[in-house]
Amino acid sequence: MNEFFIAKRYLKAKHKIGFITILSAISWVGITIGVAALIIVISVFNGFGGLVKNLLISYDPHIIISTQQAENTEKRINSLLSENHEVKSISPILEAKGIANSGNNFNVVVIKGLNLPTLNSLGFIKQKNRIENDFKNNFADIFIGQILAAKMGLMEGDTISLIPIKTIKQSVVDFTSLPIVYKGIVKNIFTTNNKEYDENYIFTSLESAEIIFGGRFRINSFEIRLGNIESLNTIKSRLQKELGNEVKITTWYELHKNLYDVMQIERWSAFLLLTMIISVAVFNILSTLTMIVIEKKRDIGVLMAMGFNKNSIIRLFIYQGILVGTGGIFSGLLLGLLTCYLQIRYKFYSLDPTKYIIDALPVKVDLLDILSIVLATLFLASLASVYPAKKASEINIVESIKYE
Amino acid sequence: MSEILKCNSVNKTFLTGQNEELHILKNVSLSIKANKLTVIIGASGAGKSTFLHILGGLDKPDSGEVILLNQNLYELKNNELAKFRNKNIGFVFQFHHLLPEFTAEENVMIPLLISGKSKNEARKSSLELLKTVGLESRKNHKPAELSGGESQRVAVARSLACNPKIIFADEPTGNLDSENSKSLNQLFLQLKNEMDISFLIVTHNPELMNIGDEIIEMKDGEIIPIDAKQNSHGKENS
Ligand SMILES: Nc1ncnc2c1ncn2[C@@H]1O[C@H](COP(=O)(O)OP(=O)(O)OP(=O)(O)O)[C@@H](O)[C@H]1O
Ligand SMILES: [Mg+2]
Repeated sequence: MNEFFIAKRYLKAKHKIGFITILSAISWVGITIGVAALIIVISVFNGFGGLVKNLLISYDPHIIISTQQAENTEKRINSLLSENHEVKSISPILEAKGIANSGNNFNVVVIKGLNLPTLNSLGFIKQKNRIENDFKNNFADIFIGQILAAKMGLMEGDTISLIPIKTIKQSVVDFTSLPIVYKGIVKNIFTTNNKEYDENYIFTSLESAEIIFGGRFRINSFEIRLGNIESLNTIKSRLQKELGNEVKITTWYELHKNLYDVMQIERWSAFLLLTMIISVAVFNILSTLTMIVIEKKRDIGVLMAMGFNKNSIIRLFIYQGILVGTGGIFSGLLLGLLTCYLQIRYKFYSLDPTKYIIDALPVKVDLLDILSIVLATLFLASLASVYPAKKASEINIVESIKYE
Repeated sequence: MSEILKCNSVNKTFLTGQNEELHILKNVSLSIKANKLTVIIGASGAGKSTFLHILGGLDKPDSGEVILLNQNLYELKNNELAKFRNKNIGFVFQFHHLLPEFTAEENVMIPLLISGKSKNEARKSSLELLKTVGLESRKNHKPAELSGGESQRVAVARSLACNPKIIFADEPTGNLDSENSKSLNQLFLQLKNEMDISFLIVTHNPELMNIGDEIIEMKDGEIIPIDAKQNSHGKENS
């Protein structure tokens, strides 16, 4: 550890070449800024990512199982997962297009039937307006998206007509058959903040959907919602193992792969761009150390005469680089984390809640990210030290000790 | 009396800027006895420093061998040679060459730290050595706060740190006034008498020539044997 002892002293020393002190200060500050910026930006990305994920998780199914043998599969899924505490709900899905009509207003919608427990536990449904009963007196209780409801001028309690597309197609080719019209009562107008859902979706009970679309045999998929999304992959692999290859299992992540890819790409671009700031700062380490090598040439020769070998000299200079790096990392961490903390605690960068669904810039500090930032910076700092260290180790002893 | 250092037919050539070859050491052979103070004298440019560096394992000869403590130095790999120097050899240069960032005590500690001693052990030995050279009270002074003579004494303490068998000194008094030179010479003498240690000193200092057990004169890269003050010893190559 004597390399470290000397390295520390060299950095603290007043340098004959005053520029060295300035340069190492610049590298320090540069790394501080780079690390802090990286932490803040990545944490904001995480904040937004987490927000989007939470929104999506609250209304999307987490696992979708598609199969040709619905009845058999349903039994097996139920027996497999009924004891599992992570599973919040399992439901067959019956989903098809239809026309929603109210007055002169016709809209193509997706009507989706889920079993009652699942339907009533959807994150965005107001609990007081649960659907308690199934298709009754030819009326289906429905949940309708907020944008769709606004378009059709609907309020909770209003009645609309639902016409399955299939019967419309039939009546087009066969004039004797009229489209069948079902009645739906708006139990709940929901907001998911996902346009796709809010504009196009009508939810109803599985039984109602069966009646509207003409039978249970149309069911060919199931959706599962979990209490905790973290257990997604273990549950998926268990299901896949038990149910075999005749079923197709899609996870929530796979459904949103595109979105995730984009978020990932954005994160990486930010990471790379900001790492460049750090690289510039780290480049100063290279200059600093190169100058220290020149300034300390004689001392390096003396150390070698006293038994320091090349590797120790290399270590001596790499430690110096790492020391400057660590200093910058430390203050950068402090600055970055403090900023994140202040934002989380006091929301000093706030957003207009009438325009956005959140009131402040979301920030989420991820330990793994912090660790990667620290390691990447340390790696760059030691990389920058390699060249001067190598130069130092090549110093000729006799030449360097000749002069005062 | 046993021999501590021996060299056979050492040659060294330097290239000048104009690509001319300068034959600095010409087939030099030499044998040095243990626990003696051997002095090398000679005119400027005779090749004394070059010779000392080669004997001390700091510079490779073009040909010939150097055997120190029964070890052929230039058969050792670089790292082994560094370790060997740390363990067995002490150096004192014309300029003290202390590390300016470190106190006297720390400067003496460094060879010990290199040898793998703990900081505490190193500090203890360092203090002991500073006592030996009479500078215990200056242990917390940096080289800039020491006089030339004091610095050189600290450098001597440092050269003694790892209990070396031999000290190489290149004009150790070259930068000191006569008073300081005198006391440094006395220190060498005292150390030689108290410890089992040999000295090989290049010098122009007449007094040091007087206290030397053996005098070697170099001229144009060759050794001319001359008589020392007590015993004559003249079977060297020329
Ligand atoms: N690296 C080198 N390249 C070229 N010539 C060199 C080199 N080192 C030494 N010399 C030459 O070798 C000769 C001997 O040098 P050296 O330093 O050994 O002399 P010296 O006897 O110690 O002299 P002084 O008493 O002045 O210190 C000198 O002429 C010097 O110019
Ligand atoms: Mg010389």
